[in-house]
Amino acid sequence: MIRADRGQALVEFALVLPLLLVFVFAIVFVAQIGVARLALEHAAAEGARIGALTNDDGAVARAIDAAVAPLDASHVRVRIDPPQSSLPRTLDPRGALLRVELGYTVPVPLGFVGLPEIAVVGRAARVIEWTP
Amino acid sequence: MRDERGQALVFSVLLLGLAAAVLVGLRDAQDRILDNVRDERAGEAAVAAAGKAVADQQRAAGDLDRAGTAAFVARPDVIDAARAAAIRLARLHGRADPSAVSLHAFGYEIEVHLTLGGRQHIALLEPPP
Repeated sequence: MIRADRGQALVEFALVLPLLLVFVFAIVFVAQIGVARLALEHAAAEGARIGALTNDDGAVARAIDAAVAPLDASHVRVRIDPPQSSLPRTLDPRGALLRVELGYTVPVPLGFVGLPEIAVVGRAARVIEWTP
Repeated sequence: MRDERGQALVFSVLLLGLAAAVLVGLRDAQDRILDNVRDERAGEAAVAAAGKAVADQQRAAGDLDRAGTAAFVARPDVIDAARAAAIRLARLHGRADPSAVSLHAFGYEIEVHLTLGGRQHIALLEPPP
């Protein structure tokens, strides 16, 4: 009986270890998603705020780059609506609505096995206060 | 020795349960934090929009002395414009309508107050140059 029980704990642990690792990765992944959601929300709000005050897409992009940490700013997709080159922002945009939408794809742990990527989005809007 | 069979399995299953609970709790905490952040940001945008609406009306009203400023903030059309602008921005952020939108005159300065998600937001307008 003693011989038969040898290594049983090791076998049981080996059986459960993969599932446990999946949960550990899932916890890390959910935390990463949370960080990304918060960072994008903050950066979108900052971008919209700066856009409302300056009517300058370059300043919006710089504000987003500074506010999106700890995410890699080069991987953040920025959409400013309407863009600076179109109406009403080319004339007197005061009172018009400025929307900023940011997108980021959170890298999946063990993503090489073909798991789907998770896209996170942050949105904000402001009324433009800038006057030419 | 027979009694020790499955001990590691039981321990591992307990660990898995704990991990699952952590996962659910983490997600729930994130949602609540994010909800608070969105309330805060929506309130900031709403009070800024309300302030801009009041500033535009103030500019149209011309030079106002102290008494004129006090009368200006009591005008229903000014309050309505501030409220409408605040509601528009709050809805754009997917939030409930702000409450307690009010204007206050302090000498030549005007304050716009509103409450959104239980938080009070204030915008200060200095007199136009």
